[in-house]
Amino acid sequence: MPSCDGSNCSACACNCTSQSKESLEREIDELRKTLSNLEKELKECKHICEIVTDVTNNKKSK
Amino acid sequence: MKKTATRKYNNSIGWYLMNNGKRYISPWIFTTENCNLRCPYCYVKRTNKIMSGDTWSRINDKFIGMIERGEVDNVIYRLAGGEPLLVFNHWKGYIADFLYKSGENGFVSIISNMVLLEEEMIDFFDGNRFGFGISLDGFEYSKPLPNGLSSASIVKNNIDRLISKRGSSHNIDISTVINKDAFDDLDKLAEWIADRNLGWGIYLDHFFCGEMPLKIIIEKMIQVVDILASKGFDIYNNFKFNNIKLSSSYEGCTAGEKLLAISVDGGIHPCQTAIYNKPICSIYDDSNIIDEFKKQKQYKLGYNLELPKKCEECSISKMCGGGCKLNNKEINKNYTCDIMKIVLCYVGKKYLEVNKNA
Repeated sequence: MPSCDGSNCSACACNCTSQSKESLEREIDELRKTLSNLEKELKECKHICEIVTDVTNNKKSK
Repeated sequence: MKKTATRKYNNSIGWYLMNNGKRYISPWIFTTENCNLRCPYCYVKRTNKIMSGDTWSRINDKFIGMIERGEVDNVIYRLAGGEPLLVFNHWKGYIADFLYKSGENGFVSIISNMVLLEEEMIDFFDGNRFGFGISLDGFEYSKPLPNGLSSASIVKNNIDRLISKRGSSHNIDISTVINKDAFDDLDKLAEWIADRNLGWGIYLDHFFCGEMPLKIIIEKMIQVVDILASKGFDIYNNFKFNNIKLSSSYEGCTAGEKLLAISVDGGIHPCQTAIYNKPICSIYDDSNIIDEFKKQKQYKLGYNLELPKKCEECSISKMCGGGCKLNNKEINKNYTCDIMKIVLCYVGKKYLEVNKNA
């Protein structure tokens, strides 16, 4: 068995539904903020920057 | 009138529960320890043990009683193993009984390698109270059969049969464990999954049976995310990497609180990977499971959760929740966090790029 996961994946149950537009907009705003902080955090880690640069260069060269 | 977005939540039980104040509990049930595959990274000791009818009856009594007493609103069984479909005839009657007695409050998820899928099973799984977590590690090569050959083509064919008979791919989630034998064509698997609009979770091997260089994993994940996005796949709701998803409806690991594991002999544990440790309690006890989990000090998870200090300064700790609480300490030489941050950052940026007007 996969060692994951203890979470509410779609394997758990159903109830297809929709989300309010306002709630979705709030979530996306929150995501933008989180990603902005995450990018700053990643830029401060030298070893991560090296990895990202390598991976980006490899992607460009393909 | 409330405005609604058109997007549908595939994994919407979390959204539904969060927005309706529902409380649920989800036992991961070891139906058997036997398996028809030989995955090198599996944590289950393969034996011929099968859960007894008496244990099944106790499980049904316990969880239906929790609903009836109002301790929880919903119960989601996760039938696992070993391979649960090996012992389908053994448990189908108990599951039918659970679904009947739990009314609309019981759900069942089949955590399976999907190598064995008979018509009778597909008929039994009809209806929207079943979900599927299906293991598929690669497009051409996936989890080995006892003769060493790949199970991929059998599994893909059976998934298509399941979709065809149910008329939908709803509630079918693929679980992929990153390992060196089934990694190269993950991009092809991405196309296959996107074409069927299945949910997809990609996980690092928690037990590190085939460690791979960080850069190679990241490069492949970028390729995979690009393919999914180019095909209009909903990476916000339907894609997760190592138990992290962009959507806030996703709770991450809930082991020791909402998730628990029941061994074939009825021992109750906070996580399926802890199944060989001393149980917190037993299905044969008269004790209240939630109370026992609140009291337990054996594990730092669930009600007793203590996040690592470094999570306090991490920008994605709210999304990640500390990852795998039990096994993190063994694998986290700053490897897991790095890869999760880099991949999540890429997935998030890709989502915002594709949905510029969101």
